[in-house]
Amino acid sequence: MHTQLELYQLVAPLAKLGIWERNLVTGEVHWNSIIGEILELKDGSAISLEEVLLLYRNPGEIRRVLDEAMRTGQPQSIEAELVTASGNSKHVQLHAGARLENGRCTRIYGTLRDISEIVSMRHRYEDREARFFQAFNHAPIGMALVSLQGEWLQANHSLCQLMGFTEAELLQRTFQELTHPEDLQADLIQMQQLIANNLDWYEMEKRYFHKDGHVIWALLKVSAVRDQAGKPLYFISQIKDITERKKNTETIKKQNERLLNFAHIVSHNLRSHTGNIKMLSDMVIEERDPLEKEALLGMLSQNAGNLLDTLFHLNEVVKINDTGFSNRQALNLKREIDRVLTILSASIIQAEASITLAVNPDLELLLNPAYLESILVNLISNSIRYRDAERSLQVNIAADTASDKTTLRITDNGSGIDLNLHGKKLFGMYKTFHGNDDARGMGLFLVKNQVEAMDGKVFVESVPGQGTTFTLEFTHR
Amino acid sequence: MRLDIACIIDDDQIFTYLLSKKMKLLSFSDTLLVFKNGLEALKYLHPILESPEILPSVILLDLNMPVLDGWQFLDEFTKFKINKKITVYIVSSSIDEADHERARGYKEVSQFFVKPITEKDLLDMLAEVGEQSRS
Repeated sequence: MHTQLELYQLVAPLAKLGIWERNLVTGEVHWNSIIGEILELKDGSAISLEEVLLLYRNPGEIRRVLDEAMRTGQPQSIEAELVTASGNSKHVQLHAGARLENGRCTRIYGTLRDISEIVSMRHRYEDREARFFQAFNHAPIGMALVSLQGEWLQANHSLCQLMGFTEAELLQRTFQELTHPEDLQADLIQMQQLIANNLDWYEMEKRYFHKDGHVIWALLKVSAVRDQAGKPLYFISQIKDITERKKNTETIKKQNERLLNFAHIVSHNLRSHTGNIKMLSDMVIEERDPLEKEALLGMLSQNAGNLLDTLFHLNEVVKINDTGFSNRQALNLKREIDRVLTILSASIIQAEASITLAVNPDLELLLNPAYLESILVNLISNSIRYRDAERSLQVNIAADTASDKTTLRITDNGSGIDLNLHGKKLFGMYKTFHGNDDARGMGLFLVKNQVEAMDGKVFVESVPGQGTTFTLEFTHR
Repeated sequence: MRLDIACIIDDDQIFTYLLSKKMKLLSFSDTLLVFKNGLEALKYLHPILESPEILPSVILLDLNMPVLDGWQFLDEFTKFKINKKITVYIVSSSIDEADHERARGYKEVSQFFVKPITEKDLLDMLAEVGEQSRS
């Protein structure tokens, strides 16, 4: 069994704990060997309080702490930097206690510990954290710390700008609320995998909603920050705006479709005319009968005319792709429709068609005037041409404006078209469906291309024998 | 060699006029049927499926046509149960490889001829169909 003193003397060096005591009455000083090691004193023997204080970078601070202990008798502690007798810089933790007798301090004592390693570790950690938040705050892409439940814990400037919220507003929402419903499930599944530690990180393209409601396409990369035991604490999300890229991809896809369409036209229509011309001219050469020769020459001329028509149509297609978007101007929709109805008035009267208009007379849209006219002429004259002989034609034209888009519907009670049979090629060039000899197969092809050139969309619904509705959609921007 | 009944399905009236003229000059067949789209051909063929003697032994089929195009015609035609060998040739302006590839997917389609059609093309058809009817 050790005495308490012995135990002290054995344990203190194990803990690298310096122990010191000064008797202020007798001037006696006790300290263990660790103090000498910390202060790197050559012979390890005690030195005066003044000499010790001078080793500290800020002696005044240490003196205040000791004075406080001596005055109040309350234990004090401080972390401080000192330069040892050998000139090395160290961080130490000093604890001091005092014994007061009749209000006078007779003894001070305490411990001293070298915490240089802990402090430098702490500095490294703080430095790293500072660098992370520096990068976080100033990153050109959106970054956020997100809780395991999906609440935003911290969001950087880029993210706030991307989403249209202030950081405070954003922190009141979850990422789930701001995610497009079609992309939410895929995100949540991967998040669970991340929590379960089956993934180190995941990356996906997804849609968020901006504060004002429009869709943002983003590339999201999520990793988890874990504690020592590997338990996830929170997520770090990096969110890059790829809306522009998505839009460009979409444009390129559309342009490729048009190019392919163009190649088809060249492959099919130009070739069919030239093929006929080749056959005809060969036969003209071989034909002996002058009457028959005459007939063949007539056909040759007709075919050359068809070839010219096709070339003219090809030119129209190219023109759409060139200037469609740039030549837009604010148009009063009702006035434009009225004008087209006047152009078509002869055939409307002849067909005994009744046309109703439900369009706000103040509604203005940013459109290309030539295209709008061509679209309306094509759709309305289609309604007239493909009316049902059994009943009088009724055409309803209605515009509907929401905050983000205007929808224009042209509905007729005509013969309709079987979309299961023809749906895929309805808007194709040179596609005709009713076997009418006057159909050129250009109208709906032009409509689709012109609508899309103005960044709009066109849809069709139809029931054979009941009628057809064409819906045009233009987003406001 | 002269076939019994041949059939052209094509909406290009100038082409069908020229082709039928060439076929007559070559004595291609006793009878020639001309339809201006797939639907008209189906309407004609459907009621006579049970009477092989009045069904054509060769069909020259265009691809791009209004109402029912060549592909849609083939999709219906291949569902028929017919007691006669009918050889289908595609006769189209298309030089699109995708069309040629797609045509190879139909075992009923024997060959793909690109317009304009020459006398030699017609003679090749005659030879092939004649070969089949002998064997």
